[in-house]
Amino acid sequence: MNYKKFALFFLFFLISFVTINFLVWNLATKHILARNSDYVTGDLARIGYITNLLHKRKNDTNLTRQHFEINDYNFQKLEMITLGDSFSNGAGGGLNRYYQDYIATYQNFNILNIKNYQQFNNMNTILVLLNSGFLKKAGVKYVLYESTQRKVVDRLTMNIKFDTNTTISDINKYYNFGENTKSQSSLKIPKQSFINNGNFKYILYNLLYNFSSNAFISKTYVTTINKNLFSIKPYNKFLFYTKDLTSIDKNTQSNLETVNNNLNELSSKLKEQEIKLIFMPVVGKYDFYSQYIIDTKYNKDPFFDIFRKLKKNYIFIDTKAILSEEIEKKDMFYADDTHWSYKAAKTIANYLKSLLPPEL
Amino acid sequence: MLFNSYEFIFAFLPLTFFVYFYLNSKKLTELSKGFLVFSSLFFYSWWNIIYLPLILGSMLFNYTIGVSLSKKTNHSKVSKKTLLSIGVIINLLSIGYFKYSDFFISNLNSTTGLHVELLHLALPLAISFFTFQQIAYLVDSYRGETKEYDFLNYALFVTFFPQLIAGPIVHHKEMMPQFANIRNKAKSYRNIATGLFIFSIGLFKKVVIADTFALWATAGFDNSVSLTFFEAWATSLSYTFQLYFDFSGYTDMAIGAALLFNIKLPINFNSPYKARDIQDFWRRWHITLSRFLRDYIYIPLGGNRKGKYRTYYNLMATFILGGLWHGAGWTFIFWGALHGIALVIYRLWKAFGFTMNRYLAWFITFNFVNIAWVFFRAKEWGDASKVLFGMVGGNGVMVSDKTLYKLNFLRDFITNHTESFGRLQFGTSTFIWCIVGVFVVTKLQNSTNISKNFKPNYKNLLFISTIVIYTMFDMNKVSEFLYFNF
Repeated sequence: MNYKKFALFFLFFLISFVTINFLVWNLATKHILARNSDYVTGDLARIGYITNLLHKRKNDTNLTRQHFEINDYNFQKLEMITLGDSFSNGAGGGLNRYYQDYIATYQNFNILNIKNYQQFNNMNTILVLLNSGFLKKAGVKYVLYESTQRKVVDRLTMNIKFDTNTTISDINKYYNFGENTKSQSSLKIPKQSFINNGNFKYILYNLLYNFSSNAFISKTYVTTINKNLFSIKPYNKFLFYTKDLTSIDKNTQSNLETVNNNLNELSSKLKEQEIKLIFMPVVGKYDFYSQYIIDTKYNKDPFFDIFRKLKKNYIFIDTKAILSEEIEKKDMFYADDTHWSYKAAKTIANYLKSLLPPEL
Repeated sequence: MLFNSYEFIFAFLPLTFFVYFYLNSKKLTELSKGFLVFSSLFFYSWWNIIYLPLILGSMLFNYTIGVSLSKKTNHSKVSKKTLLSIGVIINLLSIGYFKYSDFFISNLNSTTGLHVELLHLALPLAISFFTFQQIAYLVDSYRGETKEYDFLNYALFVTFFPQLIAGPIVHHKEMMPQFANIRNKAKSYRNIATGLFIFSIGLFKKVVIADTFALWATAGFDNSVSLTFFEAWATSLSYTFQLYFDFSGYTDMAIGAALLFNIKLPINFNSPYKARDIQDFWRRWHITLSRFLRDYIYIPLGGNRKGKYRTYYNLMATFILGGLWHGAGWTFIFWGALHGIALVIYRLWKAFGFTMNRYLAWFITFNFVNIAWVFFRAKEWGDASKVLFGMVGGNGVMVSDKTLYKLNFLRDFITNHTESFGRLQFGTSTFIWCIVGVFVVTKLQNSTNISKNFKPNYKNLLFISTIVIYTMFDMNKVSEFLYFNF
């Protein structure tokens, strides 16, 4: 090979590279990766590069009352504080994406959705809010702690410091309460160029999905179910997140007993200040639909079977049982997302209505 | 415009290349040169056109003075020495106004209690590079070491886009003859292939390696209140590698882009982290700056010709000024002073005839450089002391629960642990990459050596195609964490 050939081959390679990226982007990946603040793309479709199962939806709300995010909160009296993961942060998107808004509307509650304090985990955040006297001062009656099923053991078995403490002023300073800054996403999403590794992954994953239900390397599993439980065609295709499976091993009797003991202890501490703990493990999408999956090679998740039998001194929301009664309504979870839809959020809020007295 | 941007790679560079050689093929050499100057000014103005008059004015001023200084006979009433002084002072005033006025005012305010308002001037892009390049030109003109070139050649010497933004700091002696050489007007596939090869390596170093380390360095320096032992070391080492791969990568891109136009830029890095003493380090790190500091500050101050104490003084003065050149802040000055002190100690060590095991010598040199970079990177003293305090274990040691189980015998020394490793963005991978970084900078060939041995074959074609694909994707990586929108 001479220098001229080398240079021309490289040039040809570069032109081909740009052309392929341009074509794949415009024909496929743009629909899952393009940044559009109005429309939501399901996370499972996005990380699995699946473009034929998109549940198109727009963020919107039609409820009479909304909860407070940290930026909106200005020291109002609170009935409830919620703390949790993406489910508490409305990550599913679409209509009424926050379950807190349903509770706020149905119960006439002031609800603050709080994030972790400093680098504390969820439990220690609740404890620091409790021990500092912040919860009492804010008039909180209920602390709703939410966690996705797959992370419960990780979050509630380690690093819990029941005596952790700080001052209310430190807490107010950290969260910047009362500054009345407009709610905004903390992460600014850059505009995506048409040249990106998503195009490569789109080709690769869609090739490999022909040979494996998780394309060997994808975090999204694509399987088939025997009932039409989604409104998106093809109705029998079912997506779920890989960690719904890999976390199953952690859900042992002993681990879940530790979780329950910690929650009982937390609840006792909260009760000392007349605050009730509500624990809401959100059923994983895989576990929720597992009985309908045609391929039976996947393990069963024993989480709820074990957990619901344990003795508790807090309010336990058995999301699996509650939502299972409504599964026929379709789209309890979005087809393209690991998060539940507004239908599930509404069902949970309705369930709570029967447990908690509304604020007059 | 940055080298690592799509607009540069897919629009500006190819367009400039093709038009330049098209004009040359039509024998329109002056036009092609003019086009290259225009393109370079366009490249400069892409950032902010407001400073275009500054660079144009600076070039016109220095060219006029330089031409007067280089004339063999002086018919002017002003002596050459006065003319040189005026030229140098005006250049220093210009850079002083834009780069150092706020630094000067804030120090004046704090020492005198005055409340003079800061000017908050945006620093014109590349002002340090083009000002010093032109001061060197004036000094050489005064010494009679320059030839008379026309303004177009001079403008190209100053603005030539591959070296305009971040060097290498070029010398008119090595550039002007190349611009004037008629043989360089025809495209050379050898230079094109080699240029693309070096450019691709530089792009990879900058985008993939440096920008990854940058995330970790920023997390430690800018986004944390305190750092534990491993976090602090990860922070400082990440910055040490970020700086090297960023700057040397950018230089590789400059060398590669210039080679497309048949212009050879001087090398700027020669595996600096392989250095076994601090003098060796400065012979390998930012070579063209070291050359400038030596030729235009250290030697004019007397160099080592006026006795050992004067030599130490000259070294200190040169490095303190070198620190100030890098940035208007006491941390930069302190960084320069640290290097000056290290060089003085090194000279004393040599004078006493001491020797040291080479591995120990490398270890001390590398760690000194690493620690000194902490001051270079820190925005204020507090940032530097935060990192250094963490590096000596002032905030204890934190590891992940998983690691703690494996290191049970160290439990007494480990003051804290957490679900994931570290409280910043550090995972165990940060430390693995720091170890890989040490291996790469000490054991592997640098890009200059790799490029010297470059042969056009399928292996190299596959190599640069692969790194270019990887880099292009990395420039626009799709994030895949599950909760992307939050």
